[in-house]
Amino acid sequence: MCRAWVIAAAFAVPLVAGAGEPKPFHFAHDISPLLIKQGCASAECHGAATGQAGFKLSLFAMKPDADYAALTQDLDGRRIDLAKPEASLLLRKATRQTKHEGGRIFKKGSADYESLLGWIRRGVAFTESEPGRLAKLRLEPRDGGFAAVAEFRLAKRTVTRDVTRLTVFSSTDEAVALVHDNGSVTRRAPGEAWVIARYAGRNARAIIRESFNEGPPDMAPSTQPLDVAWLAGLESLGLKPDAEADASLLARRLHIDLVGRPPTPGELDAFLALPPAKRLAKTADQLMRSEEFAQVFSGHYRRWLELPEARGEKDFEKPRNTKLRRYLLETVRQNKPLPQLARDILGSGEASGFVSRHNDPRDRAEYVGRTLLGMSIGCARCHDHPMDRWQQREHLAFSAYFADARPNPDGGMMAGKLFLPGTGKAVQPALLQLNPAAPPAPQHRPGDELAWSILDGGHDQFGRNVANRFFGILVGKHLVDAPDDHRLSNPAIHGALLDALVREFGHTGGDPRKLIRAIVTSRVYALASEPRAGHALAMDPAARYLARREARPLTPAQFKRAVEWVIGDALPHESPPESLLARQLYVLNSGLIQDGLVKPGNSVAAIGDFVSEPTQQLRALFRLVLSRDPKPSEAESFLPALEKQGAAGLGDLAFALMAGREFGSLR
Amino acid sequence: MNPYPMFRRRDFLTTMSALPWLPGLLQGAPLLRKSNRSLIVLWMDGGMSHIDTFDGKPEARPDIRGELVARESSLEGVFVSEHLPRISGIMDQCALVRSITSTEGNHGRGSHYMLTGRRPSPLLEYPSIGSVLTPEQLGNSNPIPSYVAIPDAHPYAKQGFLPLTRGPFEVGGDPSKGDFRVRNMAASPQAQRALSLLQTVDALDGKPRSESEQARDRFLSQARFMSLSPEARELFDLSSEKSETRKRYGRKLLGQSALLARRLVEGGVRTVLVRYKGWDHHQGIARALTYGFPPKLEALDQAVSALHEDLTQRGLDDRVTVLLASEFGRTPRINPRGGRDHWGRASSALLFGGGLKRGVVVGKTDANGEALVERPVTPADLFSTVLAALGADLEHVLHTPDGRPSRIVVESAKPVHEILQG
Repeated sequence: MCRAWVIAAAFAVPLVAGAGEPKPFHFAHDISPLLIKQGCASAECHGAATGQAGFKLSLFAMKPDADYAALTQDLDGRRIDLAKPEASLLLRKATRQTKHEGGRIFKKGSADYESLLGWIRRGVAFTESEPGRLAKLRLEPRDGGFAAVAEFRLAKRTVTRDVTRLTVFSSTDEAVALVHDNGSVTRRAPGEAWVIARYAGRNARAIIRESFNEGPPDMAPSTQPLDVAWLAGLESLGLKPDAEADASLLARRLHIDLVGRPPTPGELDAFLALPPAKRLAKTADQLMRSEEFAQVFSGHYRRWLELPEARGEKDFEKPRNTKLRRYLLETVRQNKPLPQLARDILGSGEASGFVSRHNDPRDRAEYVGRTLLGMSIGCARCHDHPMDRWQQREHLAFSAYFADARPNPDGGMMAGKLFLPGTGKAVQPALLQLNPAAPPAPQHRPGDELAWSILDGGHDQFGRNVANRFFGILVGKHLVDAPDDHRLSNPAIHGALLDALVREFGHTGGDPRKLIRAIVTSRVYALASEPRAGHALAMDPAARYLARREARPLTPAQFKRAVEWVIGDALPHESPPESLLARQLYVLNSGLIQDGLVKPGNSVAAIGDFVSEPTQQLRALFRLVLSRDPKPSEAESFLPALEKQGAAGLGDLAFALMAGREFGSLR
Repeated sequence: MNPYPMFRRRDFLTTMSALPWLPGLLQGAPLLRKSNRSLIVLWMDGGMSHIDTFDGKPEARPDIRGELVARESSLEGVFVSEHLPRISGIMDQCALVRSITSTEGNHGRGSHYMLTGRRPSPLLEYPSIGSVLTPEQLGNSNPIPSYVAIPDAHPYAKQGFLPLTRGPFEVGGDPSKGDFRVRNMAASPQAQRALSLLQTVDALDGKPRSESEQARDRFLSQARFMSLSPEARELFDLSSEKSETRKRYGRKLLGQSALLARRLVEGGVRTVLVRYKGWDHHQGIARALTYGFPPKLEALDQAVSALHEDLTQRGLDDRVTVLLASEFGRTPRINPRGGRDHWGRASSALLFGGGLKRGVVVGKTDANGEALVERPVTPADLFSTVLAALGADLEHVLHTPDGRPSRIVVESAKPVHEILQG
C-alpha cells in the first residue's frame, strides 16, 4: 500500500542542543511534564481535588509552583531526601519500593527515574542555570513516527531540545493511526488523523494520511474554489468521489433545504428546463427571495443562536423571545450580512437580548463563545484543561466583559463588574486572545472593542464558525463536528474545504445568500447518495470524508410540511414525535396522511379527477409525491391496481408513497 | 393480516412469560449479556418528602415531623408513614436506602443526576438508565420496544448522547382512562389496506441508503407489529386484566401505570419508567399527600404493594427489579406555608425484586432527617446498584458521538453491596 505522509509544516531548524553548554532547566519544563505523562497529576490520582493519600498535585500539573511546594515542602519535605537521594519517598513510591496504591510507575534506572534522581541530587532547584523561555513546540518526523522538539529562548541564544520523552501524544482518530508514548505511530486504516503533542502547556500537531488508493477522480476539473479544494482533499486521500445526483433529485434536495418542502410539479419542470450548469444557481437565487426561505432559515438562525421555539400561550418569556424571533426573521428577509448580525448581538439594540437572556456574565461569555466563535470556553469555568486553549483566568476575564452596567452616582452608567464569589474582588475584563500577534483594536471605543475582537482581531474564527454551520445545514454534515467546539484536537474532516469556504465568506463580506449559493452550487452538494458496494453503511469512508452524500431523515417539521405540500393544504395535526418508533406509528396511524387524502379538492384527488389515463396518473402522482418519474419496475407493479381500483387505488398508493422510505428521507 | 403468523392470539396470555421474541429481545445488549432481568422505575416526579414517606421522625419536633404520623414498619427501626400501611407491611421484603445524598437541589439537575447517574454537565447530556439498558443494535428480533415510558418520559429519562434509536417509547396516554390507547397504535384502515403496497414501494426503492434509513426500516417493522398484531395490542390492553387486579393496583394513573408496567416487563420489555408527577409540595404538604383523587400516599401505597404482590405471585420477583425514587427529598423543617422545599442532602429510595436482598435498610439520617449519620449513598452509587442488581457489566463503556468513551457508571460510583444478593 502506498503511504502518503504530509507534515503540517516544514522544519528547517536542525535538532541540536548546544554541545557542552549547561542545559536549561525549569521545574515546569522538566518535572511537571513528567508528572502529567506518568499520570500522577490526573484526576484519578494525585490531581484529584483532595489529592490522593495525602499527596496533592494540581490537576494535570498546571500549577508548577504549587506542585513544587507539594513535592519539596509538604510533610516537612519528607518526599525528598537530599542526603540519600535514592531513598526519597517520591522515588520509592514510584518504583514501588514502598507501598503505592497507584502501582509501579517506572523502574529503577529508567530515564524518568534517572532524571528525577538527578534533580534531587542537584538539590531540587525550581530553576537551574538559565531556565529559558519555552517559545515553541513542534513535531519532526522520525522513524515512521514523531519526535517532539521544544525551542527555548535564552538571553543570548536559542536552544532546541528533544522532549519526546516528556511529551504526551494523542491521535484524533485512533481507528486510523495510533500514536504511542514514544511518538511512534501505528497506522491502522486508510483515512486522516492528527497527532497532537502536548508538552509544558504547549501543543503541536501533525497530520497523517493513509491513502484509500481508489485512483484519481474521474470528474471534469472545475475552477470553482470550493470544488478545487474539495477535489484536492479527496485526491490526497486517494478517494474517488461519487457521481452527481440526477437532476430531479437535486431539485428535491434544493427545495427541501432552502424552502423546507419538495418542489411542485411546476417547479420541477422549471428546474429541469434550465441549462444543467445554471439549474442550482438560478433556482437557489429565486428560492432565496421567497418568504418561505425566510421562515426556514430564520429557524436555522434560531437554533444557531439558541433561541427557544415559541411554546404557545404559556411561554413566560414570550415578549422578549417573540421580539428576537421577529428580529431574526427580518434579518433573513433583508439578507443582513452576518458580521452585522453579530455586531447587533454584541451591541445595545434589540438584538442584545440574545446575550442578556442569560443572567450570569459567565453564561453570557460562554454563549458568545459558542454561537459567534464556535468555541466552547465553558470547560475552563471550573478548572484548566490540558487540551483546552482557554484557561480559567481567561474565562473569568472575558466573562467580566458581560457584567451588567450599573448606574453611577452622577446619574449615568458605568461599566459592570464581575466579582469573584470567594474573594469579592472585581475581575479585570480582558478579551479572548484569539490571535496574540494581532495589533490592538484600531480605535479604543469600549463598545466596539468586543465586536472588533470577535469579528476581526487578526483571526477568521467568526467566518470559520459561520461557514461550518451553513455547510452543516445544507450538506447535513459539519466540517467541524460539534460546531460549537472548534479546537486543535477537533480538526475539520476536510480542512481545505473549510478554508475555501472561509475565503468565500470573506470575499462576499459575510453575505449569507452568497454563502448559501456557493455551497449549493458546489459539487460536494450535488453528490449522489447511493451507498457503495462492500461498505457497511455506518463505516463508509466515502461518506465520512465527503466523497459521497449521506441520506438523512426529514426533520419532523419538514416531514409534516412535505405531506401538506403534497396534499396542497394545511393540516391541523401536530408534527411527528422525535422518537423513532413513535414517528413510524405516527406515519402509519396518526391520520395526517389519511385525513389529507380525503380532503375535498386535494392534489392527489385532483389527479384522479383531471388525468384520465392510468399511466399519466401514475406519472403525475410520482412527480407530485417524490419529484420524479416512476421507474419501469414501479409502473409495472402499480399500474394494474390503478387501472382496477381508480381513485381509491390512487389514494392508497399516495399513502404508501408518503409512508415510504424515500419520501421520509432527504437524499 | 398478521405479519407475524407465529404468534397466535389464543396462546398469547398463557405464554406471555415465555414469548417467542423474549430471548431475542433481551439479547443484543452486551451490557446485560448474562441476565434476563427487567427494571421498573417508579419515578416520583417533583421530589418526594423522605420524612413523610420512608424516613419518618416521630420523635422530632412538630415542625420537623409534620402532621402525618409515622409508625414502625415490618422492618425493625424503619418508620414509615401511617398512610402507607400496605407498604409498611411488606418493608421486610424490600430494601430501603435512607441515605441518598445529592449535591443537586434543582429539579432538572437533581433528576439528571438520579436518572443518569451523572451530575449534569454543560457539554454532555448523559443517557438515562432505561436507554443504557437498550440493545446497541436493534435487530429484527425486537418487535416491541425495549424501553417504555408511561405516560411519558422525563426530559432526562431519554437517550442523552446515545443515538435516538435508544430513546424511550412514550405511550402518551393515561392507562387509567377508559379510552386509553397508546398514541397512534390503533391501525388506521388505510394503513391496513395499503400495507402491502408500502412494502412494495420500499422493496422497489432498493436497500436502505444510510444508517438513518436502516433505522427507519426497523422501526417501521416494529410499528407495524405494534399496530397490527393482536398480541402487541393485548400487551398494552389493561382490560384483559381481572377487575380485582385492576382495583388492587388502584384505579388511577399510578396504579394502572404500574399494572401496565408489569404487563410490559412480563412481555419482554427491558425497562419501564412510570412517571408520577406532582410531588413538589412547597405548601400544605400534609393535605396534598393525604387528600385528593386519589391521595398521593394512598395511590403510592396501593400501587407499590400491589406490584410487589403481583410480581411475587407470578413468580417474577427474581426477574424484575423495582426502584422507587425521586430527584431529592424535602426540607425537614416545615416552611411557613405548611410545605417542604427541596432537600438534596437526604432522601430515600425503595427497591425490591431481582438481585436484591429482602428486609434490609441502609443508611440513616440524623434525628431531624437533615443530614446523614451513616453510609452516604450518592445518586451515582444508587444508579450502579440498580445496574448491579440487574446483572449488568459495570465496566461497560459507551461512546459519545465524537467517539469519547464514557463508562456507564462514573468511576467513583460504588454499588451498595449491603442490599445486593451475593
